[in-house]
Amino acid sequence: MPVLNEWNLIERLKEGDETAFKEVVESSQGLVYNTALGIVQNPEDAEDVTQEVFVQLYESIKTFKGESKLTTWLYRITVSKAMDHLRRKKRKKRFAFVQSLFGANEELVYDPPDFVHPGVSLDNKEKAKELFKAIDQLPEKQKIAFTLNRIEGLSYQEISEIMKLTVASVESLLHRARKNLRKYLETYYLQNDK
Amino acid sequence: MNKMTTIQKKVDDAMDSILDIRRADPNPFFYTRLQARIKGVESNFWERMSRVVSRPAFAFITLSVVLILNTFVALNETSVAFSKANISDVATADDLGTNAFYDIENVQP
Repeated sequence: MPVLNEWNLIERLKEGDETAFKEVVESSQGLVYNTALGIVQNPEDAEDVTQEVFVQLYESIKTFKGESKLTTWLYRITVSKAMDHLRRKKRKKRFAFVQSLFGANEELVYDPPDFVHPGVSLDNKEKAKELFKAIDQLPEKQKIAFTLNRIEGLSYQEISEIMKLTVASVESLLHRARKNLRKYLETYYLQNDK
Repeated sequence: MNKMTTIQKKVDDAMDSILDIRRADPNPFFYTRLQARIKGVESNFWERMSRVVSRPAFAFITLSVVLILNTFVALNETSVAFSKANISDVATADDLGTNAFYDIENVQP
């Protein structure tokens, strides 16, 4: 989006223009949903995170200073909301486990089946399933950088702006992420080799 | 050696499996669902209030204010209540030195 257009759109958003809000949602719902899906690896959770992102945009657009692009800001909110969602889910799981130890397990802890990203081609679905399991094991920052780079297709420069890091740090994060993924996959295939 | 080469090939294939990944989009009518959620958030004032109140920062600030007020009141009270001059002033004003008011009860026939 050209800078002038974006600036105009932000101004309209700040004035509470609903058409402007709809325009932003419809043009960026894909990028928000795809990023969230890459991180939370569950379509329902990704939809929930996407809604939370736009609710936050709606509520706090007046505080947006325009120091970065609107999309960069949206990516930042998405990453932070998706990571919060994962932490909440982990906490819930741990709590349910403790409850089950005391025999008060009324609610079943649902473990979804293996995640397959809907954008992966049919031939690659099986291989991608293992890769996504490995991505889920990565440390937070490596997971974010890898998702933004390989699933959202962003450049190192764009990722550095979103994560507020230097380009060199992003390169290093991605290098470590790839190394860890290879290590995980190697162990997996060695254990499951027939 | 052969086994390791096969494993490496599998790892490479898995790593390359998302090279041609396409962007996923949310289900249709996302904007309608979003509008419903925004209206829900706006109308539920008490839910928003409870979210603010349940923040650790809110609890910390409230506790600090209560402690500061308590300390302030306690310090002020001690300086006023335990001054000897004040005690004697109160005793004089209330005529605590005499017990003549008991005589009202003991009227002689």
